[in-house]
Formats: sequence, structure tokens, C-alpha cells
Amino acid sequence: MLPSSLPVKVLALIPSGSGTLRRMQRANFDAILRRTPLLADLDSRDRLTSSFIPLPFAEGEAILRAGAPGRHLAIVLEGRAVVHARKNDHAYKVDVLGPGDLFGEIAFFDAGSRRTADVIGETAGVVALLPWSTYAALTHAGDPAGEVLEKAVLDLLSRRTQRINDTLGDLLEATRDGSWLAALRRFIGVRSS
Amino acid sequence: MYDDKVTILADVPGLRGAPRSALQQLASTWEFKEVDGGHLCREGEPAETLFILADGECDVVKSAPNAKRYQVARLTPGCLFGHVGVMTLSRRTASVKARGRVRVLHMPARKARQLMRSDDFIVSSPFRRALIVALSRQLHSATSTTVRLAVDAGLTEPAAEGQPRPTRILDEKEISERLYRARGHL
Repeated sequence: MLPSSLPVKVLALIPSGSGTLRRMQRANFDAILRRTPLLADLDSRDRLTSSFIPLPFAEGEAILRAGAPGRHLAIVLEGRAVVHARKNDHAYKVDVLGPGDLFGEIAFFDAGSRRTADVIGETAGVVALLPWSTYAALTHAGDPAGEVLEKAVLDLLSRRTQRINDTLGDLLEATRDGSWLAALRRFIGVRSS
Repeated sequence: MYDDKVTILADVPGLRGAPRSALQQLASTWEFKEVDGGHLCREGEPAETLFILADGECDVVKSAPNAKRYQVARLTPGCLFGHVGVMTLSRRTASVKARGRVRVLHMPARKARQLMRSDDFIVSSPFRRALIVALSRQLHSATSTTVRLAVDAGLTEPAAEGQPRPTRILDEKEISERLYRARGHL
């Protein structure tokens, strides 16, 4: 019997076994997914959570590439991944993602977009991927799970926008008394830790 | 005019690929407005309107305490704007000025917040998707601008895959300017 605390990474790597084993693995994976803040408001039997697919990644492995097509929404379940943005042939580390963090939302929610950044494993880990087709079918059928997800993503982005806006305001204040370098170092330190 | 609104909405990131029936319903929540060279919104004012640029171009401008004004972005048709203030109930973080004659779709902030929270999924779901894409793109721009400043200031290395980038000596004027540009994205 699989204990409920079995790491997701292990679950994702276990080869398909008996039907019972597969069901237990899935139940454990779904339980871990439901603990992420983004999906916490979903009904315990919703069909959205059960549509996520586990994907293990290795240290240094590209999970997403800027410019590539792709319509999966991703949530980090285990490990860390770095986000690299590109500008004028340079790549910049703009974020470090850990368990519960969301990525890939632009290309997921916009049919005309491609991936905007590289996401690379900083450690080994596991992400959960939601295919667009599942989300679209549920939303089209009026399933409330799609709405819960959209509202959770909007709330998350609104909070993040306010936080970065406040941080940039603090940085600008710091340029007046010459302490901007320390403030900017704190900003980078927070994003790199 | 009604079909015209649907055509404009169909090109907004997040609404591309949405069913025509959904766009038709969403179209009824927006009104047209024309502006010739004037401001559509001003920094510091309460955020009372959400916009989509239908025709023409607009400049996003942010002011510094020394009265200098920085152009932080240029909007092109299909851009959703004004949503940060609408969603976060804050004041405008930048001004938006028309470059010549422009046409926009607009919606009162109160109505936009109702639609955002509505469970009438046929209309509200594509609307939320458009807001998610617009917010996420702005966050990406603001963060990237700030991180590039930190790399130029020698505080952090560019990512390993990039070409080596020499550290430059930055004066406080340039630092302020770039931070204003980063904040103007929001």
C-alpha cells in the first residue's frame, strides 16, 4: 500500500502497475495537487484536478522553451525551476519557481501566444500539467471548476502585481537617498533564493 | 457596429479562438469612444474604466517627481489596458495618451469587476482569460526590465546560456528612468 506521504516524484516515476496501484497513485497525486493554493477551492470530486498529468524533470532540463508552441498550464509540485527571459540575445534569470507556483499561463490562456520564457529545472522535480483541451471542454460544458481556476489565477496575478508595484515604488524611493543598490540587491535576492 | 465590436474582441489576447457566440455576448458589455490626441486616463486618478484599443496607437507615460515624463510603452490595436487599477482598486499607475485619432472600447470598472466575478461562464470565462493574459504579460515585462537593470549594475549575473554581458557604470538618472519604465508596465 502506498503511504499518503509518498513523494510525488516517486509517484510520477512508478511504472504502470495493477489497476489498483494506478488508482492509488492517482489519488495520492490528486491529493497533493489539491493542497496547492491554486486548486484549494475546488470541489473534492472535481474533474479538473484529475485531468492534470505528472511530468518529472531533471536538474538542467528544459521544461518549457521560449518561442515554442504549447497549451498546457503547469504547477510545480516538487523541486525548483528557474525562469529565463530573453532580450537581445541575452538570457536573464527572472524568477525561481517552487512547489505550488504556476507557470505557462500566457500560452495556455491565449491561443495566439507562444511560450514567453525558458523554464529549466534547477533541481530535479515534478510539475503537474493541465491540457488546454480538458479545461476548454469543462468550461464549455459550464463545469464550475474552470471558473474556480480562472479566479484563483487572477487573484494570484493581482497580488503579484501589487507586490511588484510596491517593490518598484520602494526602489524608486531608494534612488533618492542613494540606497537603491541595496534595495535592488534585496529584490534580486528574494527572486533568486 | 455590433459585428465590428466582435471583430475587435476576437483579436484581443486571451479572447483569440473564443466561440463567436461568447464574443457576441461580451460585445454588448462594451461601448465605443473616439479620442483625438487626448488622454484616455491620467496617472493618479481613480481607475474607473477598462479599455481595449480598437484603432490607432496610444502612448503609456509615467511621471517622475522631477516632472520628467517617461514613455514606458506604446499600445497597438487589440491591447487591453487600464485593468491593473480596475482589478486592484488602486489609482492609475500611468497615463495613456492617444497618438492622433484613436477609437477604443470601454467599460465602467464596476461592471468589469462584476463580470470578472460572475458565474455566467459563457461571457465571464473569456473575459477572465483576457485579464489573466494582460496581467501576466505586464508582470513579465516589469520583472524583466528590473532584472536587466540589476545585471547591468553588476548585482547579478546574466543566465548562463546568455552571452557574457559587461557591467556598465550606471548613474542615478538612468537607474531612476529604468525603474520608472519598469513600474509603468504595471
